[in-house]
Formats: sequence, C-alpha cells, structure tokens
Amino acid sequence: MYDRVLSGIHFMSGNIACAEGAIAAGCRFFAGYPITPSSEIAERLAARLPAVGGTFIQMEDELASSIAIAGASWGGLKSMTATSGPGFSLMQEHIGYAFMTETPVVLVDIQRGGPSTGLPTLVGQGDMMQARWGSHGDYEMIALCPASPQELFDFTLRAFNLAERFRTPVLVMSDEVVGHMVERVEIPTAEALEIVERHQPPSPPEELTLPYHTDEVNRIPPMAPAGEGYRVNMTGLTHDERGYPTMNAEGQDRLVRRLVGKIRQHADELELCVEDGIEDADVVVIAYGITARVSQGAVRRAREAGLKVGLLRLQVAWPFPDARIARLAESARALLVPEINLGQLVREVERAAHGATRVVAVSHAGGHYPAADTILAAIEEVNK
Amino acid sequence: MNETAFKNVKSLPSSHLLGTGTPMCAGCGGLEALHEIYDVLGEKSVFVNAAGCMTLLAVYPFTPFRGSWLYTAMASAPAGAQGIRDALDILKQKGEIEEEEDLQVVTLTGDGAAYGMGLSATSGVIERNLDFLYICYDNEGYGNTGQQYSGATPHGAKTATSLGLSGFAGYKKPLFDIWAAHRPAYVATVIGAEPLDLARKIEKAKSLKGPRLIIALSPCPTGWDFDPKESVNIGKLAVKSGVWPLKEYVDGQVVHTKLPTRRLPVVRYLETQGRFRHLFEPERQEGLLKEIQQRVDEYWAAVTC
Repeated sequence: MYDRVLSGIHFMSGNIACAEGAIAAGCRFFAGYPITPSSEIAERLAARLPAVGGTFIQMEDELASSIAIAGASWGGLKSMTATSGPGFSLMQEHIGYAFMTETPVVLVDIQRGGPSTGLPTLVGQGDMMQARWGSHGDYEMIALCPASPQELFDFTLRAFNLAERFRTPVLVMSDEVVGHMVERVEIPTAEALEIVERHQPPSPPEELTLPYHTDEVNRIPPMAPAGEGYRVNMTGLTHDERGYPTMNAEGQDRLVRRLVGKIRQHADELELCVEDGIEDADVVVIAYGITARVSQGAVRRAREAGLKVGLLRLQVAWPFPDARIARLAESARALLVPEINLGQLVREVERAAHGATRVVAVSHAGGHYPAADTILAAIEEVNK
Repeated sequence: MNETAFKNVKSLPSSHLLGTGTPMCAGCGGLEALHEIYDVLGEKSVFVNAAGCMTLLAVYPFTPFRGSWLYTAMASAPAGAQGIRDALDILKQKGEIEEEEDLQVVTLTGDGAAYGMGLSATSGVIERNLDFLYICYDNEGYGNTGQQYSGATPHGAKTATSLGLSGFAGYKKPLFDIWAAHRPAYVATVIGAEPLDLARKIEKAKSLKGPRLIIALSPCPTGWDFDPKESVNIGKLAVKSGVWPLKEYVDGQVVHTKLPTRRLPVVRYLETQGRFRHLFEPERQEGLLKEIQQRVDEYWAAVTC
C-alpha cells in the first residue's frame, strides 16, 4: 500500500486500477468531487496519495476540481481529476482553459447514462462527442478508451505521458462497467514503466524571454518549472510567444492553429487500436470500451457461422483514426458501429468512410451494454 | 415564541403528510426531520431538490410528497426556487391563481450542496430577498455517494475520503453564521430528535416572508455507522453534549432556543458512532478528544442568550 508502483498481479476493479495507473505515472495531486460511478478513484487516491507523498483534496465542486489540477500542474506536479457525466459537463470550461494554457492534466470520465442525472449507477457512452467538442472554441483533444481494468491502468499512465509530451489535457473516457469490472491487472515493475517527464526550457530563467516559443517541427513549447525563477505569464487570453495577450485576429489564428496543429500533426503517433480479422472481412465492427468487449463475442460467433467479420477496437477515440477508417471503407461491405449512445462516433466513421461503404449504427441510449446477440443480429442483417 | 400553537409535545401535528415507503435508509435522521417539518408546513408547498440522498425520495410515482417536486443539478436548487417563486408571483399578478392557491417554495438539499457547491446560488437568492424556505438535511458528508467528507464534516470524523488516524482534518463550516451574515428573514438549526423546538421554528419560518433557512442535523446510520434504532438517541446526545446548538437568527439577533445547562461530555456523543471509533480504539486519542471538547466549550462560553 505504501509502494509507488504496486508491481505484481492483482485482482482489481477498473477504478482502482485507474488510481494505481495514475500513481505509477507519477501523479501526486488529485482534486475531485464525489460522483457515481467514479467515486472509488477518489477514495483510493485519498488513501494512496498521502502514502507516496502526494496530495488528495476533495473540492467543493467540479469547477474547482478541474482548475485545481491545472494549478497543481503549473506548480510542477502531475495532476488528475476523475468524474462522471454531470461533473464532466461542469469541467468543460477548464478543459478548454487547460488546452489554451497548454497545461498537462489528466481527466477521467467514468461514463454513465445521461443526459442530466440520467442513470447514475448504470453504463453509458454518451460523453464521447462532449469529450471532443464540449468546451467552446476550436481545440483538439486526446481521449483514450480503455476496455478493461488492465487498460484503465495502462491508459491512465499513458494519459499522463501524453499530457506531458504534448503539454495538453488528456481524457480517459471509460464507462461504468469497465470502471466497476474486477479482473486480472498486471502492474509491471517501476523500472519497466516508461514515464515521460516534463520538457523543460533549454535556457536559464533570466534568458527565457519567449516561454511559448516552439520549434517548427513539434510546435510544443517546453514548460518552465515553478520555483526556479522562471517568470511566465499564463493566460486563457489569446497570447503570443512571450505569453502577452494579443487581442487581434492574426495572433488568434496563429496561436489556435499551432495548438490544434501540435496534436493533429501527430495523429498517426497517437493512433491506437486492435485489429482482429479485418483484412478480408466483409463486415467490420468498430467499437470501444465495454461495447468492444461484447463485440468480441459477437464477432467470434459470426465467424463460427462462416461469416467474414472483423473487429476494430478503438483504444483512442480522439484524434479519430480517419485514414484507417477510410482504408477499411474501401475493403469492407459494411462498417457496424455499436455504441451506448444514440450515435456519436458512428458519425465520425461515416465522415471518414466518405460514402465508400455502408455505415450502420447499433445504438442504445444507456443503462446496459448491448447484448452480443444484438450485435450478432446486426452483423447478420448487414451481411444479407 | 409566545404565540406558538405548539405548547407541548402533545400539541404537535399528527397528520403524517409525508407518505411512507420511501427508499431512504432505516433510521434516516434527515427523513425524520423532513417528516416533522412537512406536517407543520402543510401540503401547499412545492419542493426544489438538489442532487443528494433525498433525490431518491421522489422517484415517481412513489413520491411521498402531496404536491409537486422539482429536481435540479447539485449547485442550483435555490436558483430553481427563484424561477418557481417568480412564476407563481406572475400567475398571482395575472389573477390566474388566487392567494389561497399560492405555494410555499421549499428548497431541499443535503449538506454537500448547502455548505459547498450551492452556496453561491444561496447567496444570490438571499441577496434578491427571495421568498422561500431552505431546508438543509445535514448528515455531515456526501451520503448518497458513500459518505465522502463535505464542508459540514466535523473535525476528526472518518469518511470515505478521510481515512487516516486523525480522521477529517478540517472543521465544520459555520453555515448558520454564513447564512445569517446575509441578513435574511430567518435562520435556524433544528434536529428531528427535538420535535417541539423544530415545530416552533418551522411555524415561525412559515409566518415570515423572505429567505428563511433551516439546517437540520441528520444522524445518518449508514454514514456515521450506528444502529438505525439509535438515531433519535444520537440526535438527543448531539444537543445535550452541546455539539449541535439549537438556535435561531431573527431580526438581527441570534437566540439559543435550548440552553444545555448541564452539558454532557462530548465523548458520550462521539462514542456512539463508528465514524469516531478510531478516537477510542486501538488507543484513545486524548489530544484530539480534548480538542473537540474544548471547541464545544469555547462555543458555549461565548453564548449569552
């Protein structure tokens, strides 16, 4: 309980694995607010963080939680919050703020049925578009989609690495079933973990005059550590390389294009998915989270029945893997997208497929995950 | 309190307006208080409920209320009450409802919303002198999500997010004072275990116009870890030990409605609840117990009326 990395094989729920992934990644600050079905993450970190020299704070609401982690990040700590639908809605302004100020933070959403209070204790995947577009203005998001407790450990750790690498907020978009599911989780030794640390300015404090200056290739500025004498203005206003407000159209276009571009241009590097038998498939099921787990069974049964069916399991929803979907659309007769919402990522599949093949949604508004039978029936229907 | 209709316990209403069969926990001190409050308040009331345990009360059609109920997000119940009050006033102005058809607008939230997230909205409606009644059932933690600590959690209490040997490091926020500092029409503390005091306060609140705010300490078997049958006893101990002062603010004055002349030691209250067990076992934490007692003593030393 007092070790930084609980190396070994565990029987662990997804939410607990998420908390352990954060600690293993070096997270030392958590600010949160209780909300079902994510509260176990906060409760675990309330016990664990003080034991590894970190800080747990329960805030007065999600507005406070989502900005406290930005403050902690600027203070030099890797920081995180966790929530579910209603809390995620409240955090949207600060997600945009973290993007604009290039603040590495991790936000975990254990999705439940919405909108509003919806189904506090039951599963949903209805926040996928909010993850991409929930804050105002133009931005680009990195959102990971774990489908098991193991992946909640792995992807939470990965989210911290990506947040530091790209200097941006990163989302872990899980769901109630994966969060509460208890499975085998293998935690590597501390030495075996790949941990990305913050990229620091090359020049000493007195020489750093352009803290937001970047190279032309990566377009990611280093981040000055607090307490070492660097003087950096951090603002949600449109700003220039000095960090000074630039209230004009040119400055706005230059800054927002860089912020969006630094992620978009690395979309290939960010892409992560698991392909299962899609090479010669007539029908490809595209799914994520718990829905992908259920789809595995449906795809297997379809194959046993002699159908040529494959599965593309998305492990990263944003940036969306446009090119991969476009290639699939050339080879498959139909793309089937089961989701626990009334059709969110299916719109992205349609956009990326660009009319080259048939795209079919298998949707449900939430409360349970689709039965394998339902997905199998949909496979058989499009295969006719 | 000279003109009260409630001379003694026997004169309390026995109408039992609040229906039975709610999904609240057995021994819920909040439900006990609400039950008594509703009987005095009467059925011509509309409840505006923020997210919390009592959201579960009115899972339609099994609502125990006689009238309407509106659910709002966690932070916004007082603002929701504003909308309802204004709408009723407009209907009255237009002559579409008669004066006797008017409703008491009642905001009902737990301590999570009252002490924390909803405080800004409460401050806003008091500033606008909204004619409404706020009832906070205070079980000193986020009971509905598993009793994590809140701004109402007492010093030293163990919660799902204050698990160390010393329990919760913070101190219960003085919400009564914060509300009273806004100079509303009425503020009072009550507890279901003292029904006569409670009834008189609701009676008074009902007779006034403007913002009227009530905090009901709500012994919580699930969150505080005690046998549900002890709920009333623990409520009485909270008052007798001086932990929960019964008082009211009206006309710019704070008056205590029950002065415990011979206060019981605070440990008598603390030792009844699992959330304080770590103060007694495996070793008695004399320092912390002394500090808790001292704070209660200091409070009462400053009380003059």
